[in-house]
Amino acid sequence: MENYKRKREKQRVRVRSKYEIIGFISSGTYGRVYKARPREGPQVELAIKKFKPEREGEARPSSGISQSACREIGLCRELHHENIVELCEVLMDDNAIHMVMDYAEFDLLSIMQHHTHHLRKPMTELVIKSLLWQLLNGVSYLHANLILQRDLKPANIMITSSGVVKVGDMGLARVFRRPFQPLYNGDKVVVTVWYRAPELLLGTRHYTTAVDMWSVGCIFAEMLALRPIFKGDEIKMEKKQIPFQRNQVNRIIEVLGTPSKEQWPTMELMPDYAQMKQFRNYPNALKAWFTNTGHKSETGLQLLSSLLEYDPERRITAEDALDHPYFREEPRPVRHPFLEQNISYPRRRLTLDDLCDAKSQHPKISQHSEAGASGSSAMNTVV
Amino acid sequence: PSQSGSDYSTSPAAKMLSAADEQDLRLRGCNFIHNVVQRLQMHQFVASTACVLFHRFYMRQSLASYHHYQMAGACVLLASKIEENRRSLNEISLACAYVALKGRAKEAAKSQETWERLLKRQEIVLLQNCCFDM
Repeated sequence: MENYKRKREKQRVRVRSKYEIIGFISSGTYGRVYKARPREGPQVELAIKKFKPEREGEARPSSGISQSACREIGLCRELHHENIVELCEVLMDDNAIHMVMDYAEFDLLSIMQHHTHHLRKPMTELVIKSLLWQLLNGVSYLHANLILQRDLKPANIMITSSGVVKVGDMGLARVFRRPFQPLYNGDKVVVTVWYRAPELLLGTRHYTTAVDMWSVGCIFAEMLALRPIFKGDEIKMEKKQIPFQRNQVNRIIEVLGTPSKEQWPTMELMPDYAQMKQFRNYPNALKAWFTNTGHKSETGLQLLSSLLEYDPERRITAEDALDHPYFREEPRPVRHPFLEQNISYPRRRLTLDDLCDAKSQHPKISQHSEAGASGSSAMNTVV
Repeated sequence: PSQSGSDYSTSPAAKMLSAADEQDLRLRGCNFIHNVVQRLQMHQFVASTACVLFHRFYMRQSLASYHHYQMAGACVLLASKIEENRRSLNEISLACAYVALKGRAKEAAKSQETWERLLKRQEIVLLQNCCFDM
């Protein structure tokens, strides 16, 4: 048995023997993301997403590998598109799933923050248009393949250093081809609250690709204004009761006006429609909001209002949005906006603290390396 | 390699098991899957996906080295996630114990925890052998 175990251990591909971890990027509920480089072969930059390993005695009993890892791997394996993050490899090490993916230097959130805090000037129309077009291109690919992303937000939109958009984080994505249960039964709450579509806020049981389009609309607006358009306060869930997001709905109708029956005929059928009565009437103020951002394109406003359409049936689809006059107007969208415009942003900051922490999580590595070797040189000897 | 009829000559278990035995064990595994899925009132898709995973696994690993019931249980667990038809690990392990013990409920309740641990471990083994193709 001991021999067998040793043999198994030898055969196992270890993440650290195949990839050199350069730094720690970020962490979330799912786990951590690292930047890495393969030890052999072409020198490309990669991102390694490490899902939290199984741990005993956690508050919520785990049920094997997480559903989000399962979805992300299952979907990413089959998706290949310029504007979708590419999955290179999946490894199992240390009882944790490691996903090796394309590395992207920026994400939309960090770029927008750089504009607000450092440059203090808005993004140019060309950049906004190019990024939006690519985002729509990626989303339309997903929708054409019957996949809902369900968590589009700036932080999940990766951008390479030349300005190519990669839609990432498919942890909530799912195929909607054959839901044998209403989608609502699977995940009660989807999409980050600021980007959540009105039908979801009103508790709809069935929803469509239109929920992603609403998020795209919110992201478009955020690029124009450099702040979230509907920045509501999330009401936390209590006693497993899904709360009505009053504040978020209020933010939406403040800008878009109170929806009328003509605008959204099926609104009355929504489970939480009764809640709508508590709000006072607002007129549609999107035009004023748009003018306030300092952007002038008439077609841009048109596209924004068709993305932020109350009725999901009437909301523009990704495919139609790609053909919108906004993209046919000068300046035309380009494939590598940063490269062509010679724009550079500060590179992702990598922290080493967490890397050290990660090292201590891999005590087995030091056993393999030669005695006496220390720090990074020890890492290099493990091949 | 595709399997046609009862041709298991290329199966990893071919050295240890006769084709008839292999077929028998595979059948028992699939039966187990269907029983568990039915007991939990999950969708038929889950059973189908689990059976595909099960056969794929045993084209890479021998039936003599991994118990067919354990792997069948792990296949249901994974398939429930793939097909978005979740049941808690608790429910799945209890159903596995119940079916494995042919309906002896008291004994099943006792061995549920063991099943939980087994399923979690074998799910990973299953995933690795299926190369995370789901």
